[in-house]
Amino acid sequence: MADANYPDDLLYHDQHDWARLEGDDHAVFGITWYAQDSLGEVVFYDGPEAGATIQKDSSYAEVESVKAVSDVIAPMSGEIVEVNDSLQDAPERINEDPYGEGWLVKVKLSSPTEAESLLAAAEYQKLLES
Amino acid sequence: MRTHVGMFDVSHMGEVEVEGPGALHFLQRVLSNDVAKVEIGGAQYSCLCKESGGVIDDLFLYRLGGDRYLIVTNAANHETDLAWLGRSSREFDVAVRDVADRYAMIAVQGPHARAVLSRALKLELPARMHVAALQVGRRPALVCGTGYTGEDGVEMLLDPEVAAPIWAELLDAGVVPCGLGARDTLRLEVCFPLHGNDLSPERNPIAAGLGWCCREETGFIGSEAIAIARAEGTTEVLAPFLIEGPGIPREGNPVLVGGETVGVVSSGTFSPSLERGAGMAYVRSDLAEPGTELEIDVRGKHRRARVASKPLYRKAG
Repeated sequence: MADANYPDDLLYHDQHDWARLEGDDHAVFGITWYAQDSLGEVVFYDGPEAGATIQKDSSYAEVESVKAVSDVIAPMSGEIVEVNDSLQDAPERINEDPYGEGWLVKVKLSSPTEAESLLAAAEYQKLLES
Repeated sequence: MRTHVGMFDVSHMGEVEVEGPGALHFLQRVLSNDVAKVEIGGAQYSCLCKESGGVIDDLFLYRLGGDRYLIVTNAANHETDLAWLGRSSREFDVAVRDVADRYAMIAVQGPHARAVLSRALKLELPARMHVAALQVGRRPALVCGTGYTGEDGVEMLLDPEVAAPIWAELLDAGVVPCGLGARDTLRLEVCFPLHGNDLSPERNPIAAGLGWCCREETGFIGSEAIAIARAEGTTEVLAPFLIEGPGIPREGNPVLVGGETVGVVSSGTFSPSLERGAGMAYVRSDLAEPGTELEIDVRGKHRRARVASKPLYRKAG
């Protein structure tokens, strides 16, 4: 993915994760363009299984490039209801399409109000520039 | 790089010139290989060892003239090597000079490296394991038929002033610039050891699988210890391995068999050619046979692995 981009319809966590709210209490999580660009070519994704409980601000997965391994931080708390199995064979999707085919997990949120602590696209970009 | 041609800026590597009537005897004393076998224009891989047999550095030696040689050192060890060589040279009629500032170094590697390079720079390239003094960018240069990728290619020691224009010329000729991360992956796929990871002053060349470049009969520093290690074996040896499923091994990961720690990963990465985690580890010597099942503790997760044979990556055909 060549150019930096931060869609307006997502919420951002300062540890370079995004959340797309779906309905009242579901969300899809992934890592931001900045995160995948910093890592370089992702060669391995080690994610949780459906049913696992994850905590806001805690690591729930690992993404690994040739040079580095990085924890993926949960932007919100909840229970994993779906995982992106295609990343096992094609982790490079995290680079190619971090907000689309490179999504990581779908979560049933335990505290939907946590969304209030997340950043809007413009705020997140300001953070990256600072 | 595995399929076409890539280039690496390896100007960080150090160079030491050794010259004088005592050059051969001096080098035979400090280097593990049989330096007498190197003809003018030849190249040879060696270890620089302590009395204990521990590896101070591994390096290439090039014979530039009758009693003139060039050693290419690892950047991190250059100062240590220089001090060691300087100290050891006192009883020999030889000059040891630090010439690291005199050379930039570009490695051009890959199956098409020779064809692309000789066309782009109009050079007659030396054969593999040979060195030639040529003009590159209208300046004297040393072109060496060596590399650190397991592919054919050359390493060019250039006048630093012409290195950037030559790099640009090669770029125009379609040579792909590669970083040192890529170089580390390439060398690991073919099981070339890296000093600081797979080689260290605390381990001898026998344990590292470098017995082939040690000629104890030449009486080099460390030869007694290495002769004993060769005769008696070492408690641990360096073994290449592949991860069976997911997971990428990294330096320092413990190696286990049946829950017991039996070694440590010295180099590990994801191999793009093999599409899996790959590495080398020092393991108990009875566990180094290809096929032996191991577990690698990758940040708390035990990943199944198996000892493989060298090289991990083999060229097709």
